[in-house]
Amino acid sequence: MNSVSGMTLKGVKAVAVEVEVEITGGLFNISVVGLPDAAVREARERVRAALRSVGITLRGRVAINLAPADIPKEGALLDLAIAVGIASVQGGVRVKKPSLFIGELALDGRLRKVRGAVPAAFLAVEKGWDLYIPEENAAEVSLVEGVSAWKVRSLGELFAHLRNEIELPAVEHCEADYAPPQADPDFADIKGQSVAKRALEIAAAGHHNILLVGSPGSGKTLLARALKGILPPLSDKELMEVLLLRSTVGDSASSVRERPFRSVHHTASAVALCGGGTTLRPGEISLASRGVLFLDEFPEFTRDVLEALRQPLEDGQITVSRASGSVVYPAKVLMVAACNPCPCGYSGDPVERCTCSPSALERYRRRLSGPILDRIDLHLSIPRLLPEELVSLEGKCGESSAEVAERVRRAREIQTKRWSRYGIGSNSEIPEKLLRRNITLSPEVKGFLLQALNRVRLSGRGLSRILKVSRTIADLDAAEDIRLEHIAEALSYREGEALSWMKS
Amino acid sequence: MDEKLRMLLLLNTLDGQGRKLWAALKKGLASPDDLWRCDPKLFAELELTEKAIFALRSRIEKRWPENEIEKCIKLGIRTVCIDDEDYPAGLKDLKDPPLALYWRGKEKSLPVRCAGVVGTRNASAYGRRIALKIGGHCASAGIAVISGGASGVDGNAHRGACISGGKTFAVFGTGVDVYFPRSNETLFEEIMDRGALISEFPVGSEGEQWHFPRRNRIVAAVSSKLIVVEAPRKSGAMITAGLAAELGREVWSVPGRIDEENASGSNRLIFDGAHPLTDLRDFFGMSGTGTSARSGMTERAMEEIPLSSNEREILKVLRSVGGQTVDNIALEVKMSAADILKTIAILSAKGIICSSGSGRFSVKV
Ligand SMILES: [Zn+2]
Repeated sequence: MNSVSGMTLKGVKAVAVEVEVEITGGLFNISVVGLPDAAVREARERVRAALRSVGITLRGRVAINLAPADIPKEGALLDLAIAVGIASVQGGVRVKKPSLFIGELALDGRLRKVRGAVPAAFLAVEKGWDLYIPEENAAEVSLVEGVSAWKVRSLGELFAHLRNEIELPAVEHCEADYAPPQADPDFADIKGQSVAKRALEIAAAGHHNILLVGSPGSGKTLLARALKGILPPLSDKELMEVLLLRSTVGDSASSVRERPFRSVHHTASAVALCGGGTTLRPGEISLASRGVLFLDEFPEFTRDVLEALRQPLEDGQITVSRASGSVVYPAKVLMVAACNPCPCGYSGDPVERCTCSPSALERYRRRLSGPILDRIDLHLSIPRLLPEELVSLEGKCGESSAEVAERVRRAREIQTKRWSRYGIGSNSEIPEKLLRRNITLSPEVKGFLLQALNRVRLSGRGLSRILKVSRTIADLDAAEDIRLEHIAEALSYREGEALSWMKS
Repeated sequence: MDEKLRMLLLLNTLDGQGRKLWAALKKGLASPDDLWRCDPKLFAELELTEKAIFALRSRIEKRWPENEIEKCIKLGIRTVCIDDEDYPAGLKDLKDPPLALYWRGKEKSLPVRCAGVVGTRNASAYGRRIALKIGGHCASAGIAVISGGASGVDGNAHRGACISGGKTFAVFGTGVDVYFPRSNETLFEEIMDRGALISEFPVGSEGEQWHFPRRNRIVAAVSSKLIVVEAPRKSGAMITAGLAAELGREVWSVPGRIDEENASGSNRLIFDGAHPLTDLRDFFGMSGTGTSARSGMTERAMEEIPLSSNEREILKVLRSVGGQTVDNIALEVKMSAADILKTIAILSAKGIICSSGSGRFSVKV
């Protein structure tokens, strides 16, 4: 007899689980062995009911072994495999080829969508197996090349297919759409805010994390959302990585080449943000990988959570470990942090008055400092536009996201050309050593920078950030050398400048 | 140890009662020994309160004056008494001058020309900018800046004076060794370098609520001119302004928007007859001298630093109305937003303009 396999997830990888069934005489009983979790044990009831719906009534002692026995198995992923395993012993169903079955069973035999269909597809391709999936998972699986998969709506249909009575529809491979996804919101829809748009362009071009400081109503969230629209569409390799992660948590994308955008609330735990739990699920930082991670009300996040973010931001990946094992997830995010200028939100506003006490301001400013700020290259304060200012900007829409995205794409190309031999993708990743060696300034520009540094206090790291950002600004200009205006602009995004008017 | 100093430090803690005793001692109606002995007859004659007598007794018993002097020596704090040459002359106009001052800093006495700059702690960006500017101009004009060392207007006035290399003095409502607010610690150190920290309260005193009006009367008395930058109706700055007016000091007030709580007091002062500070040239009596004090720094900067035509154009816009966003500026000049941005960046890097609020720019003062 051919083996019947299901799978369980370890990180973004599917691990094959062989389902062995033995039925002996005696009183009716089903037992499942092989490190099943609670959800897998519950599968007994679902499978029994679903089998009855297709006319298979279980008798005797049913022993189900899930092999290999030492891997913990989770969730409702194994329902279908267990049902097929039993039916091939007691229901006259023959599995002709080694196959992988995934799907959650409803009591009436219908098949429900599961998470992990894409990892399952990769596993099937690797082993050369056939794959049977719930119909709702077909869209994501169709993007995986070389898989031979069938869409299953119900247990009855599947058994009829296996008995050669009907032919199930196969999943047709389709290429991911190359057209760039529609930007939403589009830069042209955002009134004013040319400074913020420019800073986002730099962030996108050089992969620089950015902090937006602005009063309520200044449009921080809108701007953060607009950032993903000026990033280049996902490449094939990135698309697969994103697809895998999304599939792992059961999330299907609307427009597949669109970059992820995850907004995290400050009440989120370190586990929700960085991943973990008994099933080693990926956290928000991994789900945002290759896209944008948005942390609103940044100073409200606890130190622990921010501390947990630091390493993954540096490494571009994160190791999630528990007693049950450890998994490495990608965490290559562009981080957008946002906050109010002060606790009441209106410091620096031309109309509303800030009602914060000096000591409250002091506390707030202290919370806004700290190690995570080392990972933020661009600091920006954005104005809350007054009604009369909004009116005067009526009909003056700036560039569209597509135009900006084109400049970003070209700047990224330049960076790839320059840095690929060092194994770096973008200016934000330039290590200190390379920075000193590869970024040279003309005497005139150096003089200007030194003069500016006389007036503003800057740490060594602060200076490195300015150099990296000015390199990106120069790349956006397709300039070989960093010019004075590039340095000047980079200086205007430096740490502290965004809140400089608040000093004392 | 100097007996007179011991007596004055002790009597200084008793306010009005202390002054009564000191007057009696000076007129020879009582001898120092009567004081140290706590002579009941003397105290009855002067009608001292129970509370004052109790305080005197316990402090003399605990050798408080001796300890206080030792503390001062250890912390490098000078004491300036009412009869000393260095005692600020302006204080003698008060009906309740402090008998002694604690003095901590390089400057041994107040210069002849002192201007008080006061206002709310919770000042707007505009208020802080103006305070900084006034402090700087005072310093350039050789006038010492007197203020209360608080955050907001006070701190920026001191800071402006420091930046421009002038003299500045902070009058504390705490002991001169107690920094309040803590965040101004570095500023206080700078003030000690360029002037002094002054207080009538003993070493180590915390800032009791009633200390601050007492402190304000000193600021008012030692300043020949007082400038109120931003002050709500009910505020320490208004008390200071009232006292200064009573003492016959020149009171100036910086006009603010009429719908802002922060300007309600300072505007009221103008209504009541204070000089409106509409142009720093008026204050420094420099009308018609050619060099404008109002935009002195920037115009000097413009002469020294060669500016492009773009830079000139944007400066022109910001000089007429401050607090503009890049989008606002784009409506005024014929430049692309990108060019404006670059120009703004260069002007900020050169220190000619600064951000004056969330995403807004003004000419730097
Ligand atoms: Zn506030």
